[in-house]
Amino acid sequence: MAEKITELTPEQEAALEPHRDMWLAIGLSTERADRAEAEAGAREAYTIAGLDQPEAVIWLDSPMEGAIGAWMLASNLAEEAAAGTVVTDDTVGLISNVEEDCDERYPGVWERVMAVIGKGKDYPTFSPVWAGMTESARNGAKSAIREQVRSAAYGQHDAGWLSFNDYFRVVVPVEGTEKLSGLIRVAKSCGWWWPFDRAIILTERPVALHLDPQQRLHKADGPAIEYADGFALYSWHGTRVPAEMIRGEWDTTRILQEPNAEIRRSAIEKMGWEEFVVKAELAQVGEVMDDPGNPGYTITLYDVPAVIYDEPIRVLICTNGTPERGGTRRKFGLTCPVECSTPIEAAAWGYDVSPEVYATLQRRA
Amino acid sequence: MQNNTLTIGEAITRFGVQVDEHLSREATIPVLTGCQAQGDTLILPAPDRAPATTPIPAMGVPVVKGEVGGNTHLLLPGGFFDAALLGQGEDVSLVLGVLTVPQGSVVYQAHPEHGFLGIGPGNFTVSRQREQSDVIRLVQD
Repeated sequence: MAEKITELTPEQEAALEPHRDMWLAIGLSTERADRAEAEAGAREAYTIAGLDQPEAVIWLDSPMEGAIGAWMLASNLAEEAAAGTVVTDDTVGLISNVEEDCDERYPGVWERVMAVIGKGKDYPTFSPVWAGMTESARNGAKSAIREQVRSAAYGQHDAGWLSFNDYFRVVVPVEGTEKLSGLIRVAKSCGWWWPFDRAIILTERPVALHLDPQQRLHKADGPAIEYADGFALYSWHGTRVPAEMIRGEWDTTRILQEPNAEIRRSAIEKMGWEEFVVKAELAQVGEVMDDPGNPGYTITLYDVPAVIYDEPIRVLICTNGTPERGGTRRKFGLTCPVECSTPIEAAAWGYDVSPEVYATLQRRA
Repeated sequence: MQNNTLTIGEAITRFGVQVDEHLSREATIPVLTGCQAQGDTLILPAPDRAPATTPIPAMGVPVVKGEVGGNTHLLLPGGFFDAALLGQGEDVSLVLGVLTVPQGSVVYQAHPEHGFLGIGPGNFTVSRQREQSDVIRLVQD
């Protein structure tokens, strides 16, 4: 019976932060995969699991390609050799809902995946596989591909749970964690992967990844995650949103039709409150007031009905105290509770000061 | 310390920090002792607070860090700043810390897009801004 650990030594304590930072870097890496190391790690995982070595190693460019490729292998190898993952896990992934994108991505990537997977024809085990690839199988693939997303090992995106176990493997160490060494090598080297009995599908890391200061996936004018094959996810401060929204193609009508409140809010922020209050014809609350500390400019408060934010709130439209390049002043909106009944109260609430104090503002830069 | 009225250009030279090119280098930075805001930060006179005792180091104190190192609100040397312990979740405090500017000194707060604030002698809190979402959250400017 192993001794129970009740506290960490100072050395182990000191190792926590560097360990965390190392795994953050692994999870967020956009470097090209270390293919030799990833393959070696995957083979080590097979050995540790007591499995025979796979015959084929297939590299694809994204989780989407990987999921489609995995479906191809799983559906066609099912009779001949049971497909399945080496290790099931409850992972914390950075990418979620990839399956939804199958709808959009599926037709475009099919040929490419087929071309790569098709090289598997050269391996004797797989030769019967390709003969059975028919149009009907293809039509039935969508939900099956979703299954493959669930059965993936997430490579670098297993950083969440692997970092925890890796700490106890390397720093403490705790007996049993050494069994993860193969998985950890793969996670440090590439993206999602699918281990089958006789083949491994390994995929590349993203080519680009963008976060906001709070470390949430975010890019205001393009994909937040992008893979080499073009597979991409769009995200506004951590909320996954449609590409059309990020491209600025949503008008007020489309925004208000959006059933998901998080996406609706994101779309308003993307459009800009100053534009939205006008186009959505929001009702003004109270008088227009002078903006303290920002001479020559005013602040105006508007009602934001519950249909927009799921609860009634208000928005204060202000003008930036500092000019933009070219001399114009940017307008922006700040949301506040409905308890704010004048523009000054709203502005004061934003900094948690009284309206009387806010009115003394000497300069707003 | 001497009279600390600086232009933006002089502040850039003195502190070695950059601000956006289109902000006029000739513009004088007002030195004020009242309430001032810079983007999502507020400088508020706080005569009742205990004065800060931690000297602002030569490289400054980033009171609010921006994306990948940019858009940081940076307090520059010339005074003292004690950072506050920040709460979590619903209890999150907007007060980032206490700033103390000694008699005869000026503390400047730099931001790439907003230029400089000049803060005259006194005791101040430095706060950040919140907005109403599904939960109240901090403004990212």
